[in-house]
Amino acid sequence: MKEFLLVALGALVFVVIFQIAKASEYVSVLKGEEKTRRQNNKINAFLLLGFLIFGLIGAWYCNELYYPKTLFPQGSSSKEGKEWDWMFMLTVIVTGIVFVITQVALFWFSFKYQEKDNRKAYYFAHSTKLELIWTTIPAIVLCALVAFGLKYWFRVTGDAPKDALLVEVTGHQFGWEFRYPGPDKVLGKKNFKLVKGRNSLGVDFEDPASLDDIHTSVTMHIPVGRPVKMVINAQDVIHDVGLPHFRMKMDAVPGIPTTQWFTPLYTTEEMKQRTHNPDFVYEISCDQMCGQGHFSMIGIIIVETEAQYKAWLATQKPEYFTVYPDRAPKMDTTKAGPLTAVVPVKK
Amino acid sequence: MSSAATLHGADVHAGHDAHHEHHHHETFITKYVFSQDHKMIAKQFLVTGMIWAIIGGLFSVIFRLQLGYPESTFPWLEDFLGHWAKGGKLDPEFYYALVTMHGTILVFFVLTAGLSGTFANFLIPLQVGARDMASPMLNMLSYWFFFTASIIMFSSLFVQTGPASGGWTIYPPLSALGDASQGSKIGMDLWRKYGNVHCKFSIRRFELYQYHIEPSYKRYEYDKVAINSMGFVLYCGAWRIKFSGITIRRYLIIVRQEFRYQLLPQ
Repeated sequence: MKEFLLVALGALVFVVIFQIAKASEYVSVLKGEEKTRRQNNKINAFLLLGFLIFGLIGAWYCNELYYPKTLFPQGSSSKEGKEWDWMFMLTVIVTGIVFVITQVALFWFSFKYQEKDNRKAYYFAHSTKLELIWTTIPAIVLCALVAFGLKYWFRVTGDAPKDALLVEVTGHQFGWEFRYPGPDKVLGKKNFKLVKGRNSLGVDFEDPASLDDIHTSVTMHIPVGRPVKMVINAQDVIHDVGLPHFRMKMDAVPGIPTTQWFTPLYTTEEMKQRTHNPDFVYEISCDQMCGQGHFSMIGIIIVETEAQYKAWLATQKPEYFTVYPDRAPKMDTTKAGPLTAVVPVKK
Repeated sequence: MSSAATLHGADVHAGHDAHHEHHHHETFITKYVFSQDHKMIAKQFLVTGMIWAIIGGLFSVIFRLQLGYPESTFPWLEDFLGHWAKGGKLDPEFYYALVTMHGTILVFFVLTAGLSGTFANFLIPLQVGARDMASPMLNMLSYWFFFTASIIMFSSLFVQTGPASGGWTIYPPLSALGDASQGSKIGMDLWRKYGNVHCKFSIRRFELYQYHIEPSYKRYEYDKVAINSMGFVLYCGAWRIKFSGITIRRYLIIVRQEFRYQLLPQ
């Protein structure tokens, strides 16, 4: 009901403005066009100045109000993301300075140099020098910003360090699947034609490298302080691995694998203390519109110490045995299987 | 340079007004509906663009209301959206459809009609001192194709499975496969039909702009003035490249995936 009233109020304000405009039109006819025009000109000049002042205050107020709600105050949770944060701040500062200067100039000039009887506008058509200055300086500054961007971009999408942990991330409508290469550190081949029944990723089990691969859904476990390289796939439509806490983001495109690597700096437990939020989890959000369930396409990343990660990995059995249970060696059934590994391992 | 700009102010308008003195008598239909006058066509674009701006703006009010109060229900929404807002809460699919249509409408129906359809159509012939566009008939058709595209687009709001809902960028396969999303069925078909009509005939007009204006300014020998104004024409050319860029990328992705990879698991 409150929302309906708000909408109705908005509509009423429009009607009121319209009526005032109409009324003032009649007034101007009665008072004489020229006099009204001059008066309006003066009012407009003041309104423009007011717009500048309230606009700038509003922009600052919004920043004060919403900045604490963003992920900026807690900082980047990955080493590479710190560079991203620095670059973002640089861009905001550079464009912010330009924004304030141009806005103040725009509105202050229109107030200061409003129409006066003893003053005539100077017709100024062209100045090559001025054009050169305001084309070259932004061009150089923007090139510098782009150069930083490319440098960091090529780094995180390029070759990962040798000791990086390899994880294959697969997006589908609407969820995330993860595959770890197992002890041999090589991911087995995949073929979409093999997607059938329990083999939901289409792993080719003819390939010996695939026999020890581990498959988990929804939750991804990674150790802290070690680079993680993600090989990103999609099974149906375009998705996007969005890692806001790590400042990483990469499209998952069907048929075209993409990669990105980063080094997590804090474990999930450490982040719970840093953010004073006992429910904190690292989140993978799908950042590319992918259909009806897009909003709910969430994955969870659990960053833990190397020892905890190893302990978790030991509880996982290879996907081969999940797909072909009859070939599995006798295992301790009390241990968590791949599909129940959603629950984080307790300390 | 500055002398050329001064010329622009003085001579061009004098020349322009002179050409308008001997016009034929026109009926209501030829003057206001199927008009071949670039100024009237520009106004037609303006009015259509404004109507679309109101529709597109209304969409954004509805979906932003739900976004702003995600937990709230708006029973009055159900009254006029029916099953798209059961219990006063926007259906996720319809939420995406609204976002998609909002983006499409604002980019292709408001910006295209408003900036290029109105300003370019109205101002460039006046700026370069041409009597009209080089081909007024094509110019008229471009508006009526735009209008037809509008009707097709508008009709997609009233189909069972809803309008296109894959985001206004229409990335395949989400937009290409009916299984991927409800809006990729008939809603997407209508979106594509509109795209055919609108992009091929209305936006392609930009290509014609160059050929339109070249003969016009040569005829009236306002070379210097025209070169000054060519900045804007080049801008129109850039738009053309931008649109064909989107198209080429779309086709490349489709071709690559059709022939080298199979998209959905069988």
